[in-house]
Amino acid sequence: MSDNTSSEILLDVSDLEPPEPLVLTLEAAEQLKPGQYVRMLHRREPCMLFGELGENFSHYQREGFTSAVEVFIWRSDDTVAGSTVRAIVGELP
Amino acid sequence: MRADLSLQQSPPFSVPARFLVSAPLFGLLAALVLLWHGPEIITHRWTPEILAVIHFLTLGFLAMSMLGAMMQLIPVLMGIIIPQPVLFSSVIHTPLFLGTLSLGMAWLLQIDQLFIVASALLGFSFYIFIAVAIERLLRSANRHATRSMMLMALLALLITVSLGIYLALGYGGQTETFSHSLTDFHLSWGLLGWVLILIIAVAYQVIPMFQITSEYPAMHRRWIGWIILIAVSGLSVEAIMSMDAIRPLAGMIEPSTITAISSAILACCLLIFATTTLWILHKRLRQLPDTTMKFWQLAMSSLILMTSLWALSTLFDKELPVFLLPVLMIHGFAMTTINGMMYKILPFIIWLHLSVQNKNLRTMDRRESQVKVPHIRKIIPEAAGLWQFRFHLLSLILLVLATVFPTWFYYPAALLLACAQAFLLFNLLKAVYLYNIKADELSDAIGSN
Repeated sequence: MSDNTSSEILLDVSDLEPPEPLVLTLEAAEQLKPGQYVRMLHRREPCMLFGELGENFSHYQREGFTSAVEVFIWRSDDTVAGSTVRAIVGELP
Repeated sequence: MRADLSLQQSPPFSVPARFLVSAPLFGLLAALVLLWHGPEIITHRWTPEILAVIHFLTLGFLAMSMLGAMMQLIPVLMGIIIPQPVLFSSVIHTPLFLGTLSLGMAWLLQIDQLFIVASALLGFSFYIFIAVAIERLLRSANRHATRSMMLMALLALLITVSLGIYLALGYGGQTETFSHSLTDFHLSWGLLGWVLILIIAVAYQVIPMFQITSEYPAMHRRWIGWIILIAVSGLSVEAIMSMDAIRPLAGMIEPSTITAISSAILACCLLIFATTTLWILHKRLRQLPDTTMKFWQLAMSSLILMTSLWALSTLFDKELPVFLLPVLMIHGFAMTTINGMMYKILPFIIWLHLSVQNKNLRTMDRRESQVKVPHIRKIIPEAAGLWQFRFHLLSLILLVLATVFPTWFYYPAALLLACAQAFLLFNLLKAVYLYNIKADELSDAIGSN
C-alpha cells in the first residue's frame, strides 16, 4: 500500500490470495482520514467487498488501466474525498 | 460477475463442514474394504466388493464433497441463499451418508433388501437436493458460465441417480436384472457428466481466485459445458438403442458411429480443459509454492494420461487393464481435484465465519472481545497439506501399478490409499477443531455482554 498524494491511498491487491484483498481494503477504508480515498487495484471484481463496506462508505468501480478492475472507496459523509473521486472518474452514476 | 455479496450470506459453518469431513471417511472405508478382501476382487469389473469400493468413492467421497461445496458456493458465488440451510443440509447429508453405507453393505454382505433401503435413502437425498439447487440457480440473476454449468451438472446427476436407482433395484429384485449397457450409461453420465462438468464449473471460479491466474478463455467458458453435455448424450445412444422398446428404430441410426464421434469430442474436451488449466497455472501471477496447485497439476496430468490411453487403446483396438482408466479418472482426476480444493475451501470458510463474528462484535462496539483469526494458510498448515499430497500421489502411482501388476502392488496401494485418506481426515478435523475453539471464545465474548 502506498500513499501517492495526500488524498489517495493506493492499494494494489492484484496478486494476493483471498481473503487478503478484502481484509487489506477494509483496513485501509477504516483508516481513511478526512479528504482521503482508497484507490484499489484488483485482477477481478472484488467478491464480497461492497456488501462489507456498508452504508458508511461509498464506492465506484471501473475498468483499470494497469489492472482489470479499479475501485475507489471514500467515506460517504466526506464531501471533499467524494469530489476528488468525481474529478478523477467524471460524474458518478 | 456482479458481486454485491455479504459475508453474512454464507451458510453456517456446519453446513459445508459435515459434507467435507464425511468425504475422507468414505475414502478410508473404501481402502479398508480393498485391504480386507485382497487382489482377487479386481479380477473383473463386476465383483460386488469392487462395486462397493467404487460407490464409497463416487458417492461417499465425490458426491458428498461436491454437494457440500455446492451448498457453500450457490449462496456465495451465485448470490442466492438456500432457506433453512442447517435443516436442509441435514435432510440431504444424513440419507446420503446412510444410503451410501447401505449400498456398499448391500454388495459386501449380499443382502438384497439393503439395495431397496439404499435406493430410497439416496433417491430422497439426491432428488431433493437437485430440485432445490435447480430452483435456486434458476432464480439467480448471475449469468456467469458457472451457473449454467452447475445446471448441466445437476441434469447429469439426475440421470445418473435415476439410472443408479433402477440398477440397484434390479439387485433388490424390483426391476429387470442387471444390464451392462445401462451401467455404462450410468457411469458415463456420472463421471463425464456430473463430476467433470461440475469440476470444470468450479475450476472457472476457484483457479483464478485462489491460484492467482488469469481467467479461462471466454470461448472455453462459453462452450465446453454444452459440448460435453451433447457428447455424453451421444454416448448414451447405444445404450438407449439396446432397449427393447426402441430396438425397431435401431436400423435408422448407426449407434456405434455416434459413440465414436461422441468419444472423440469428449477426448478433445478433456484434453483442452486439462492443457488450458496447466497453462494458466504455469502463467500464474504469483509464483509461490502452493499445495493446492500441486493437486491441480496432478489431477490434470492424470486426465491427460487417462484420455491418451483411452484414445490409443480405442484407435489400436487394444485391451487395457480393466481398472486403469477408472483409477485415473476417479482417484487421479476427481479425488485429487477435490482433495486440493478442500485445502482452499475449508480454511476460507473458517476464516469467513470467524470474521463475520468478529464483525458482529465490532458492530456491538466490543472490539476488545474479538478473537485473533489465524492467517488462511495457517488454518491447515502448508506442510501438513504437502505431506498428505505426497501420500496421495504415492497411492495413485501404486493404484495405477496395481491395475497392471495386482500381485505386487495391490496391498501397498490399498495401504497408501488408507494413509492418504486418514491424513486428509486428520487435517480437516484439525481445522474444524481450531474453528470450534475460536467459535467458543467468540460466543463466550458475545454471551458475556
